[in-house]
Amino acid sequence: MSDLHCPARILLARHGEAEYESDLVGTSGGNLTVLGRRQAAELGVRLSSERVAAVLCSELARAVQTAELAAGALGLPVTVRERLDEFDVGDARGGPYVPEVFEPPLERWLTGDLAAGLPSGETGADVVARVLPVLDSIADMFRGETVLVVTHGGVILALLGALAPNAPGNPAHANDVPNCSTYLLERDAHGWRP
Amino acid sequence: MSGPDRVILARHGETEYESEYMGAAGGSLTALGRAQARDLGERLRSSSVTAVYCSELSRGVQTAEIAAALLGLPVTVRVGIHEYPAGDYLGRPYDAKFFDAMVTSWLAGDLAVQVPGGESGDQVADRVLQVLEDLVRRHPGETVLVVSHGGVVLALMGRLAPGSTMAPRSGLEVANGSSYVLERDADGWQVRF
Repeated sequence: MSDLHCPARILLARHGEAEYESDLVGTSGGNLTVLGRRQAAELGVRLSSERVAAVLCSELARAVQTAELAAGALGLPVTVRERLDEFDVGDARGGPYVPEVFEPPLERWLTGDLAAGLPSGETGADVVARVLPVLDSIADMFRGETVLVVTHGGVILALLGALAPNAPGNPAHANDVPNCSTYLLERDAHGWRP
Repeated sequence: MSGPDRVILARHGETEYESEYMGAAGGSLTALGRAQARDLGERLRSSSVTAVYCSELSRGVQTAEIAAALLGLPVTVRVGIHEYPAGDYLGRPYDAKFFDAMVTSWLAGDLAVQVPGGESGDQVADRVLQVLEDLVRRHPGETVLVVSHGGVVLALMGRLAPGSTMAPRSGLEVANGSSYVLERDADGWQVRF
């Protein structure tokens, strides 16, 4: 049996609740709130029966904090990986967060329409093309094992829309990816499946 | 009893990067870097640290979270205390000699010097001290740990202790996980060597 037959299990988690120094949408990584820190520690405790072999995260501060707090509860180190960051909001950068503008493209990603995106920002397909190769390299390193990858709501929506549009376990809406919620993806010889 | 307004300024632990080319990446702590961060936390257990802050760069955040866990404290990430940018050297492999002359000038107290497209020592010192001023306002009479970067340490040494024989003589001498004590009183900031 090839080791490709041993699926790698990737638990994708959204970071804990974060606050930002500016109200405007930027590239700042933010900072976990008291609640966010508790959510992150609870994520680690919740996964203590899952035999997690490694913890990885995006470069954004809110994800790094979440990963370190969860990994502390699991007794594991954290590896920061590039290209797992939240989606690029394009021309909306520097403006206020307006749910009526930001959420419709994410809703379309969830249904499998990955061509949507904000003006000059990343489409769902762009996000998947950026993130999935990183997850592939992680799966290659951890065949037959379970790893925690702390990333972002938009990234999770794009991946679920690409791999399992309209699946029963998917978020119902773009704003239905709670902080520190987890989504299981498995990769075996046939590719990725939820 | 209240003490002086004190900031313990630390450099992050040893870091590895996915690319050898200088960019915006925050990097990831190595196993040694994680041990250095733990040592930092252990070393400060008796320093009455009341709060832990760090830059937005991932190597700073990791170091702060690991040290803070040993101190039983939360971490607050702050904008404005990041490393100086590589400027026009962005995209090239890191080489300390690009920055040697600039760092030597900063340490001697000439903070106007910068690499092309980068930040001057004055710009680095000004943006970082603005954040440190805010921290001591929030924590009067307390000691706070701030996890930042080698270039930030060098710019502040040049600003607060130019030419001091006690200061590091180059970037190489600002070791991963090392820390420097700064105090703020009515006369301003001083380095306590």
